[in-house]
Order: sequence, then structure tokens, then C-alpha cells
Amino acid sequence: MKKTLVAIAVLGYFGASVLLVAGLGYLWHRSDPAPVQPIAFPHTVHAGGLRMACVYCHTFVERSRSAGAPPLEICMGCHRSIATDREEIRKLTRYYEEKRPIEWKRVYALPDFIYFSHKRHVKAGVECAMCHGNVAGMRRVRRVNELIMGWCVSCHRVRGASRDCATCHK
Amino acid sequence: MNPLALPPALSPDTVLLLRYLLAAALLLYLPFLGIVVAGSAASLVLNFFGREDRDERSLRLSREWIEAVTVNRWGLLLLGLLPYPAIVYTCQRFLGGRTSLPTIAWLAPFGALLAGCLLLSLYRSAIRRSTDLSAAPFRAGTAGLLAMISAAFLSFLLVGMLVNPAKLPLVRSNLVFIFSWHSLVEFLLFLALSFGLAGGIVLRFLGRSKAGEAGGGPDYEARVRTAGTSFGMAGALAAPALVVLYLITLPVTGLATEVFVMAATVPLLALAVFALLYLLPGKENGRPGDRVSALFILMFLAVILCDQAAVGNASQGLSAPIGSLPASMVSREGKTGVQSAAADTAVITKGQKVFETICSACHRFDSKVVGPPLNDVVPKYKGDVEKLKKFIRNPVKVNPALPAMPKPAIKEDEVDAVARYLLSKVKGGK
Repeated sequence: MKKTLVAIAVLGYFGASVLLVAGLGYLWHRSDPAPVQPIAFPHTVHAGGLRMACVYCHTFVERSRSAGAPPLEICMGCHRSIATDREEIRKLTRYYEEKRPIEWKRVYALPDFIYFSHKRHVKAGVECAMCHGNVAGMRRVRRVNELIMGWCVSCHRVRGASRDCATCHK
Repeated sequence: MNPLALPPALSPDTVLLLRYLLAAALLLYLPFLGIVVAGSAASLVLNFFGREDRDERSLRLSREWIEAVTVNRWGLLLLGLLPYPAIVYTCQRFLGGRTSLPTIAWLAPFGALLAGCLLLSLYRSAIRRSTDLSAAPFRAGTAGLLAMISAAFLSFLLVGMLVNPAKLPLVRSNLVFIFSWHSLVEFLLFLALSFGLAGGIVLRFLGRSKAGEAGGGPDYEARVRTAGTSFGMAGALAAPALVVLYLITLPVTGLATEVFVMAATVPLLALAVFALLYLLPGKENGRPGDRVSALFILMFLAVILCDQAAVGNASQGLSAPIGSLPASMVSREGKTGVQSAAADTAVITKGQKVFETICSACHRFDSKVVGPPLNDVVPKYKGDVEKLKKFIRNPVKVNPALPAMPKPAIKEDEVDAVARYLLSKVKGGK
């Protein structure tokens, strides 16, 4: 009798841990670290193969809080004549001709109470890859950092940047 | 050296090869180290209490145990030390070469490993002569065990860096930051699996006494079975909880579908061990040692593969890419400026910046990318900067094999600067 009870308890424990692993996996999956984008833009080709500078398209990164998704004119500057027969480029051209913006899915998001400026960080010499990872190697952009406070603060500490609360919490 | 420099880029093939190397090295190193740690711990404890209680059976088990786990002196050194350089090599490659971490981070675990192996073989030869040990060899054994445990823990901290390479700058500034909860949990998981595996080994190899031997007999066999079973059960029961903790503490950068799949197999394998040891200890199932050992080896394999998936994912995310450094920043530092003495340096530097942010998207000097190599096409504008400026302002299709050059969105002064830069850069230009 006792043996049966012990066996049931232990089996429950094993089952619970399998369920917990599955649950954690589901939570991770649901957080969608690499959302499917409306156009399958390959950073591997542009930033990887062609070694284009990030600022070629993300033009605001050096002068604004947000790096900005490039306006379609930047894409069309080249793609008016390059690779026009590809499916994704045709999609791009349709967006451009219909004057519709592409609704890119957000990969990184900061809460409203955080003040963050790309300009400050780029001017201070922080490489894009420090936070965004090897985007040049990503077929689909994947979130590689959860932007938690400890992570921000540890970098500020190493570089001797301000650790005043009001620097980020405005 | 820039304290924030990231590891240099590795090609995907290299990453894959390094991952295989690391997995193979860990699969040799971890189970062996685990058996040695768990076996010598058990041997030391049994020896201590055996001498206190004058219990012949404990002393005998203590001797058999250390003999079983340490193979022989050379085997111990070979298996214990050989995989370690492979692990260090992969860590160095992943984290960016020799300078990535202070040498002490590599050497400390190796030193501890070496000391541990030597001290444990001292203990082993002493106990083979007589189980009634004096204080010195016993202390040597204890010190050896502690050295092995710290070697294992330090190696876990090292390997743990691979799933969180973003931490590298911090660790370079202060070695204390190498500690991570993730590595600690992984180390505890390693201990649990090690004790389980040692239990399996005991059930498989020990407790076969010849009739009439001192301390032998059915009593001794029962003793061995209890010891092996409790070790196996302890390992099997601790593993699932630790796997869940492992997933919780794993940096998000490392998470991937494979990680969860591999992690989920551990509780299932542990369940099989539990079933073997507790639910079915029937007569025909008298010696489950083989199967228990095999299951624990599989659990080791699952955890190692799980960690490898995490390392692969993390290194994909955070190895420095080729094209990520904004070219404008490089040019601002003037690193690549090849400047003509005759031309106005400021204009040429400005032209270089324009080239690196705009033109370099399609053009290299020495190779065809989207457009032709500039070393081939710019020399024909030699001595005629206006003609080049006119082309840049209003490009026309020249080579039918290539797409037409789009009109670049740059201002007049930038056109002038980039044209001068190009002519200064190309051989035979100006």
C-alpha cells in the first residue's frame, strides 16, 4: 500500500516536471522571438553578403531616438532595377505603387516608461551587434536580448555611463 | 583593446564543427569525471565511517568503489585530462581567441583537475595496500575529491560563458562575473547524474564476492545493492527538478526548440530509472546495473545536446557580424583612409564616408558585387572628375550584363567628395 502511494507520488512528480518543461517551451514559443514579417527581407543578403552598412537603410539611427525602418524609397532606389523578377521584390513594388506602408512586426519593444535613444548609443560607439546580435547572419531577425534592466545596467557600469535612475526612467 | 569588443565572426560551418567537438569532448569528460567524483566521495565517506565503526563491509566497499571508478593511474590521468584541452579550445574559439578571457580562467580548472587526479591516485594506492588508512592518505583523497569538484564547477562556469557571450566584456573587467546561476544549476544537474551513474556502475560491477573472503557474503551483496540503488534513485529524483531549473536559468539567447525537446527527455529517462529500481525489482531483474548506467549515460547525452543547441543558438545571435559596424563610424576614426597628398584631405574623408554608407552597398574596389569592380571602371575617368560626377548624378546603363545603377540620393557636395575620393583611391586615378 505504502509502495503504491510512493509510486503515485513519484510518478506525479515526473509528470509534473515534463509538463513544466512543456509549459516553459510554450511560453517561450508564445513570446515569438522571431516573428514572420510581411516581406521576407533577408538581412543575410544585404548586411551579410553585400556587407551594406546598417545605416544605409536604418538612416535615423545616428540622429534620432529610433533607428527606424527604412522608407520604401530606400528599398526602391536599388530594387527599381535589381532583382525585380523575385516574388518578394514584386510584393515590395506593389506596396510602393499602392503607397501603402509595410507593417513590419516589432521584434524589440521597450515599455513606455523607458527612455532609450539609439543616437546616444551609436555616438558612444556601441556596435549594433552588442544588442541586436549578428543580424547579418539571420535569415529572419530574431530577438537575442530581453532588454531587462540588469542587462542595461551592467553595460552602463562597464562603460562608465550614467547609472542615475532618471537617465532611463523619465 | 576595446573592452566591449565582441567575439569575431565565425562561419556557420565553423560553429557547427566546434559544437560537435565540444559535444564529443564533454561526452567523454563529464560522465568520467562524474563517476570519479561520485565514486571517490562514496569511498571516502564509507572509509571514514568504516574505520569509526570497525565495519569490515564498509571498508571493503570503500576499496572496491575507488578501484572501480579510477580505472588505474594512467587511465585516470588520460581520461580525466585529455578532453579538457578540446573544451578550452572550443571556448576560446567561440569567445574570440587567446585574449578573450584571462589565462587563469583556463588554467585554474586544469590545475585543479591535475591535482585531483594525482591526489586521488595516491589515495587509491594507499587503500589498496590496506583499508585501515592513516590520516595522510585520507586527507589526500579528500583534497583530491574537492579539487575534482572545483575543477568540474570551474569548467561549468567556462562552458556557461558560451550560452551568454554578451557577458564577456563584464567578465573581462572582473572575473567574479563569470559566476552564473545557470552554470550552478548545470553543475548540480551534473552531480545528480554523476551519482546516479555511479549507482548504476556499482550495481553492475561491485558486490561479487568470492566465497570465504573477508567481509564478503550475501550481507555484503545486499549492502552493495542498497548503496547502488539509493545512488541511482537519488540521481533519478533530483534530475527532473534540476532540468526545470536549468531551463528557467538559461539565458533567453540560448533558448531553441531543440533545447526544450532534449530537456523533456531527461524526466522521461529518469522515470525509466525509477521504474527499474523501485517498481520492478523482481527476481529476474536482480541486476539492473547495465540498464541504469545506460539510462544515465543517455541523460548525460540529452543534457549535453541540450546545452549544445543553446550554445549554437546563442553564438548565432551574438557573434560579431561582418557588416554590422556602421561604416560611417570606421571612417570617422579614419582607419581605412588612403589619402592622396595632393588632394584636399577633408573632402576625401567626406567622400569616403559617403562611399562607405551609400556606394559600398553595391560596389567594391576589387570585386564585382551588384555593380562592377571600381578598379576596372573608375580609371577611365582619370583626370576628368566632372565626367565622373556627371555619371554619379545621372547614371546610365553601361554594361548590359549588369543592372542599371540607380540614381543615388546624395547632395551635390557629396557627389563631388565621393568622385574625388574614388579617383584618389583607384590606381591610375586622379
